[in-house]
Amino acid sequence: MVLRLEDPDRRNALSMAMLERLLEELEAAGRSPASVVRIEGAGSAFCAGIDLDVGREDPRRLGDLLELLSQAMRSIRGLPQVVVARVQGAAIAGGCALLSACDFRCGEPGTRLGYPVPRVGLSAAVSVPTLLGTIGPSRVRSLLLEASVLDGETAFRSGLLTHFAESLDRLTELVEALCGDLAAKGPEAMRRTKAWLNELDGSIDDARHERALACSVSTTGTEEARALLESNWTRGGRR
Amino acid sequence: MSEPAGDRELVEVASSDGVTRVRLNRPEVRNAISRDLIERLMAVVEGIRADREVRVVVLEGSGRSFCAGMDLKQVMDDPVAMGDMLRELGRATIALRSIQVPTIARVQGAAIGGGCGLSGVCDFVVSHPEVKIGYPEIGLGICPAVVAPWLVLRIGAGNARSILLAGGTMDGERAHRFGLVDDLVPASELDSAVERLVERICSGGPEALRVTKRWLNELDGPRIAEQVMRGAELSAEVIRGQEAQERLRKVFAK
Repeated sequence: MVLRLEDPDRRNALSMAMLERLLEELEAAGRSPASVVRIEGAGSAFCAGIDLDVGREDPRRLGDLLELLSQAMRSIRGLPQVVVARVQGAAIAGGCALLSACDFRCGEPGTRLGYPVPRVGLSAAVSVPTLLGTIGPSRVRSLLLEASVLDGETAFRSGLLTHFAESLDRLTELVEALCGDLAAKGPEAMRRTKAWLNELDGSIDDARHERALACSVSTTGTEEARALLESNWTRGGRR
Repeated sequence: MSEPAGDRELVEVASSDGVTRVRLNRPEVRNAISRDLIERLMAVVEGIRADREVRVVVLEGSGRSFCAGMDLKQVMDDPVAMGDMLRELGRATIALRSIQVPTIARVQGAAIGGGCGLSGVCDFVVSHPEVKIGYPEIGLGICPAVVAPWLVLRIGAGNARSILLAGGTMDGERAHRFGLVDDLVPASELDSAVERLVERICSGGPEALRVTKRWLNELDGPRIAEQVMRGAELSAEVIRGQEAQERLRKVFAK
């Protein structure tokens, strides 16, 4: 089963509508008999993050987006099926958060991953509950605090990507081979193993997600975020 | 019921100068883990725990492979025995981990499934590039739940996730990158690499090493034993299911 973010002109930025739809599709996927779920983005990028335009009038409205983002991450991680992300180009901030909840993450040399959100006064804390298990505490620290963006190869070495195609052309082939392999395994054993790993690494622990979300949401109400977002828009960027 | 092993011990143990060597000894089945083998391994580990002279333990396998994993064929038709075996594997990993001195797994040839589980609870894994290592359980419809808590501790939850959910096996290079192998050397240098490590460990203060090992084990968390044993129950439940039974029968019919 394939879920595709479909707003390529805006590099699949996560709007309210996009996230609501994603949540519906994830719920449907969870009920489907498919044993592997694939998540991808249409166009040149996987996902450029939450749609900052939502906060133009009042940055606090970004909190609603963050809440849906957190739900989407939990929903991906909680899916009974294994989840494979196909990441071409950017998976930035909210895009990287979605990615961190996937079991397998496939990228290419042009893949760009990271959380440059402190530049607009926001915190990527919401991503930590799934990111922590995915790449380990010391890498989470440098990724979030240095707020750098990693290229595909660096992300692969750090474990943020589990699979790496030598070129964009090979990415589809790689993802299809992986999904085929996974579909050949015992689906019941797979479900049980994923659920057990979720329990072991605490990545579906709601209390943890709520704390992380509250931390990110708190930054949307600061004077700092207002000023940095303002200057970001003055410069003409959405991000 | 004891299997006919003649005069041979299923797990041999030999100590000299503070180094205790524990050798899995069913080379004709690549040291597959039977109930008798686990029972004997547990007794050996108990002995080591009581021995204040031991300074380092080397776990190894006779013949061409370290350990091919659980001997499921032996208990194929008895789901109760299968569950018991998984519980015993869980207890064996807990016992091995609780040895109060550094432990080294000398892994040649293969360390598969439960075999990789045994090497993975050791403090050091020394192996070579051509080794076949990993957790193919998922392909057999089996849930590798017993080894999962240890694997998460050893290589982190993200790596454990991608290895266990993808199943299959990998070579030594890849295992080394993941941290399943700590020391990767040419096969011909396996023994000398283990010896070097033994010497290095023995040059440390025995008391400091015991205290450090105990502290590191404490950092495994207060729930680790409980998690491993719950993993055994989960795994036992899955292996009784239709999916696992069908897949296993297909494999053993070959």
